Amino acid sequence: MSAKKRKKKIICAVGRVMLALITVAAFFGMSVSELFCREAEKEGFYEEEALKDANSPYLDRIAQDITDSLVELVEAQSNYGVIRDYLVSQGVDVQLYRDRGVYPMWGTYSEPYKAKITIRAELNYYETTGRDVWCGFYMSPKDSYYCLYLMRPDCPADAPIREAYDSLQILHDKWGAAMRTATATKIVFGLCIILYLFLFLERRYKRHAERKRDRGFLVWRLAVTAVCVVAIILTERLLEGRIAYWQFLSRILLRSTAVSLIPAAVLFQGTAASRFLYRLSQKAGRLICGILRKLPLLPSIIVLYAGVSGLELFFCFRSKWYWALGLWIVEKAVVLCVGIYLFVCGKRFLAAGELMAQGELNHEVSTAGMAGPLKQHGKNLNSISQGISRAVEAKMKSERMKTELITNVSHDIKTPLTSIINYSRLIGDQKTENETITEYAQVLLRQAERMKKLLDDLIEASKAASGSMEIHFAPCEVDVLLSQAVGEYQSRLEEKQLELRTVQPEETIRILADGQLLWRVFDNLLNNVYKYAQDGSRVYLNVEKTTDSVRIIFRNMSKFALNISAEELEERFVRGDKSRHLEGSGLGLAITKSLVELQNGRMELLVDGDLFKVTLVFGLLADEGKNTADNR
Amino acid sequence: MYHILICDDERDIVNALKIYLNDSNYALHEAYNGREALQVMEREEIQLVLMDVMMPEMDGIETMVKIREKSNVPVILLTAKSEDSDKILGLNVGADDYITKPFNPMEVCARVKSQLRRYLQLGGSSVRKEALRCGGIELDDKEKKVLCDGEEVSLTRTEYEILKLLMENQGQVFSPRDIYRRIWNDSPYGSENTVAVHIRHLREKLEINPAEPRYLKVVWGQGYKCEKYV
Repeated sequence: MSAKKRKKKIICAVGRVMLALITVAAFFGMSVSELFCREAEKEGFYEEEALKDANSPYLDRIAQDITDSLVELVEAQSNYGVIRDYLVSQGVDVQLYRDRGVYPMWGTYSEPYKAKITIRAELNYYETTGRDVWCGFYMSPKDSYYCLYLMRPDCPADAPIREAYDSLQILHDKWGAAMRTATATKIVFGLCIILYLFLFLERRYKRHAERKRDRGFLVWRLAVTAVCVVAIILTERLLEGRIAYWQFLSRILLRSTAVSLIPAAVLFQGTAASRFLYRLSQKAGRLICGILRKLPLLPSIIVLYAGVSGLELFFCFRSKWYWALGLWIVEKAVVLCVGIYLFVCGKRFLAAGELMAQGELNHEVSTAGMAGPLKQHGKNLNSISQGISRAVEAKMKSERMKTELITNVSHDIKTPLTSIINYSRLIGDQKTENETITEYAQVLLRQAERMKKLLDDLIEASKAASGSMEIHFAPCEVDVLLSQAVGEYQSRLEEKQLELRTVQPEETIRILADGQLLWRVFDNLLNNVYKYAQDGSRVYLNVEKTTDSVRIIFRNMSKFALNISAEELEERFVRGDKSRHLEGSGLGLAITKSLVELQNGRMELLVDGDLFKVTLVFGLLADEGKNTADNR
Repeated sequence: MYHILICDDERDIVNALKIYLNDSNYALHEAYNGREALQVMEREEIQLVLMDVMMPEMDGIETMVKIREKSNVPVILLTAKSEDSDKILGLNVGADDYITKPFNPMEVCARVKSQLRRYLQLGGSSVRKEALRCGGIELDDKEKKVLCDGEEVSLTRTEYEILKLLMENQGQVFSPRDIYRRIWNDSPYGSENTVAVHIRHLREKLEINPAEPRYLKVVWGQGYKCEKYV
């Protein structure tokens, strides 16, 4: 099984190598033959000595015969019809070349086609002037067309036309041989490749396509090849005019071979060579993309466009396609207008998108002057922003409603709660012998008070979390606030023999915050310390300043084992003591965190054994110097 | 004999308040909505009104406005709402004080007493020129005496000095450092807490609810000030 596979693999590899070799050889052969043709052409032009040596008696005879007859005819003042008939009888194309006794233009295919002038016009000239003319013709072996020359009798014997005529005979001979060889080579190679492709490769394509379960692949590939070949033929036909049938055939073969080879690359998928080529092209692509990405978009597009346009212009002048110049200008004008239009629209979209990204959802893109997909895009953008606004509004509304609901319900609960507290207190104040009643009344009162605290915390937590709290930012001095807060708690902390140790830098540290809210934060944290710190322990309050922020750190030893993580403590309704015997709602830290975040600060909790550590981080006030000056 | 009007739509609360304010000096009148309150006020000569804000028919704020059209009798609003905006609204329409439900009976009594004294004193006795006044607080520098709602309060020397400083410059915020420098004539190196503790004590002595002071306000993160009363 494996031997069979290996064999198959080897055959595949050999096939690939063969294909590669044949392809290379074919292209090499074609290139060589093309080069050969060119060399021959060059020789015909420049090697005069070589031209004189060559001779072709057959062509010379025909040419001489026709020339002589033509001269006779012209001298006999024959009209155009007679001359044409004669030329046709001699197998000469009546498409005549117009050249008034000067060097014949040749080498370019389009010239004779363009200069389609009837002999009559030329003859008429001589008729009216009454002058005699010399006549000559040549046959271009490359394109197999004939050219008739009319010369004035006073044209000297050593005139260029004479020379040209002579050289043409020789050139024809030499060229003819070269062209025949080259064309034969081309045809042979082309046929080989086509045969190879259509007999061998097609089977593999088919298999490949079947394996991929994509039968359309084959049809598609063939269709593309056919379309390409037809397009090439048509283009060449349009550009080159009449071409000898054998020349034409060789060209078709050459082009179709080249086109057929493009999809042949599929066969090389997965080979080392293709991987290498792929990696190479990938790297090159990345390099180019990297360079392009570094350039700003607009300038690079302008440069690229200007480059392409310049190249087009250059080719227009080079090929003397002046008619294309007009087209070029029209095209550029249209492209420029479209470009500016697209740029303006794109700029509008870009600006709108940026605003939207920044959260300004009320911005609307003006779709005035836009059309089609652009207008649709503008409308879509607008509807997106409207949609988001609606969603945000709905969210805000629901948050507000939630807060309102909590607040209203809490208020409604407070009224009956007032009576409960008042009457339980009144019961407790009653002078009665039954101590149980007093005791029960106290329980009632305590629990009712706790309920009141819960309600207050609930309102505050929902307000802080939903952001429906008014914040009045003002510069706050951290040390002042700290001393104020500590002053408020001093006596209460002393009650529990808690020793407060404050460490802070000597300089004044200012932050931008709402003093009232910040006090609530400190109040909550110090209240926690008061409630949960181990009696008689030390409480540390540190202020640390970094380059752009200030850290306020509260540290205390917990009275109870904190068998709970810091993350859980930040949650609502969670308390360090799971037994829930102590007063408090479990909302304190959640409220504190929300309040700190409302003031653009950060709260970090750390539980390490019995150590409970809260760190508040606030950004320093930027223009500190200015505010110090103001306060003086 | 002071005539006090208690107005709340909850009868239980009215009754409880009546029990708390059960004093031989007080004559208590009751009403269960704003309209009734106004009727009682027309009938009787009321010296103080204790009124709920949320009531059917005519709410506390509306009634408040009506009362102020005729008299400047002290009004203490009772409400379940504890938001600052509600307090400000209440005080802006002319309330003299504000108590949030559920209330502490001691606090209610203290505030009622305080308002009554202020109202009657302001109406009756003449103001001594030398004395500094801030709402119900009166500081007589000659006699070195501080009266809170007419009752003398005993202060330590430092507390007295701080209060004097703040009352002399009503509305102005003093940082703890400034206060220390002025009172102790010393640089406050590491002893700012002292000022805060003294002021806390002052508030405990002068304010009914030290956590929500009426006169000696804390400007958090900046300092302390004595609220300017007209």
